[in-house]
Amino acid sequence: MAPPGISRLHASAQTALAVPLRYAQAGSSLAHAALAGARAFEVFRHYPGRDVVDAAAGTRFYYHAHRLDEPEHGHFHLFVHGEQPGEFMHLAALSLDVRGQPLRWFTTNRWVTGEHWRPAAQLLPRLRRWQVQTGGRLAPVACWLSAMVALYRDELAQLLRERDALLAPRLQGRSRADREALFEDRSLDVISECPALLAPKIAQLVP
Amino acid sequence: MAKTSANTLAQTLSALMVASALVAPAAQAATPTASGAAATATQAANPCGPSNPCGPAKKKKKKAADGANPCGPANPCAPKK
Repeated sequence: MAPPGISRLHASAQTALAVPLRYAQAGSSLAHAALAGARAFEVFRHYPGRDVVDAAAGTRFYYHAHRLDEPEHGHFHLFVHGEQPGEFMHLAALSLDVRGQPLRWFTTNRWVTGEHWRPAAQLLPRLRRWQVQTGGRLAPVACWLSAMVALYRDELAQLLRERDALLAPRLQGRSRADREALFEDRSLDVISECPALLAPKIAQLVP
Repeated sequence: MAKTSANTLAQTLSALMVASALVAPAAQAATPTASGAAATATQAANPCGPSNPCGPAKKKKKKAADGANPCGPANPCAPKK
């Protein structure tokens, strides 16, 4: 019998595959589904417009796109809520290609989302239990994102640590103004990234 | 059991690869309408524009109860207590 950790990982992997498979068998994809039924897909607009919020879990996500460049179709931004009302932290973003297949995970500088910056050590406990539930047409998308976070938990933890490690030398010993300038540096948007392709990830689980 | 699970994963992955290859690519995002496009273009340069392009959606503020309760404390013309 497989250890519980492996069983959970396999269950997450199965969901991460089964949800897009169901969409594909219906002639659709996660890239279509992420738009929540919107007729038009416009840059910077949030899909859904008010985000998906799971108040019980203290999590949130939405989908959008910046540029009109392939291969990325758009990306999900995943958040956790803080202890104070209105406080939120960005966990990671997950991009999709035009066929709805996941491409890459990435973390961002503070200005990108306006988040309340927290070190990786404080985010990791939230990462370990990150899940989002919703009803309606986005329920399978929420289920898929929860499974993806569980499946890539180790990689996401590493991404957050890398994010902090990359910024650390530029923050240490600097004045408050310099630190603020770095967090608001428009030339620094994506800080760390890793592939999110499903096939190689599943290959690691299938001996 | 682990072997069965691994086989299921492998089969589902194969099915997904085949099925998703047959799905039409989703349309890329478009720039909004003329006025929206102008607004988007100014966002990057305008220091007063939305500075956090990827921040979560803001809650809509509830309008003051205009007319709903003209004598209530929410009324902007009510005297200070």
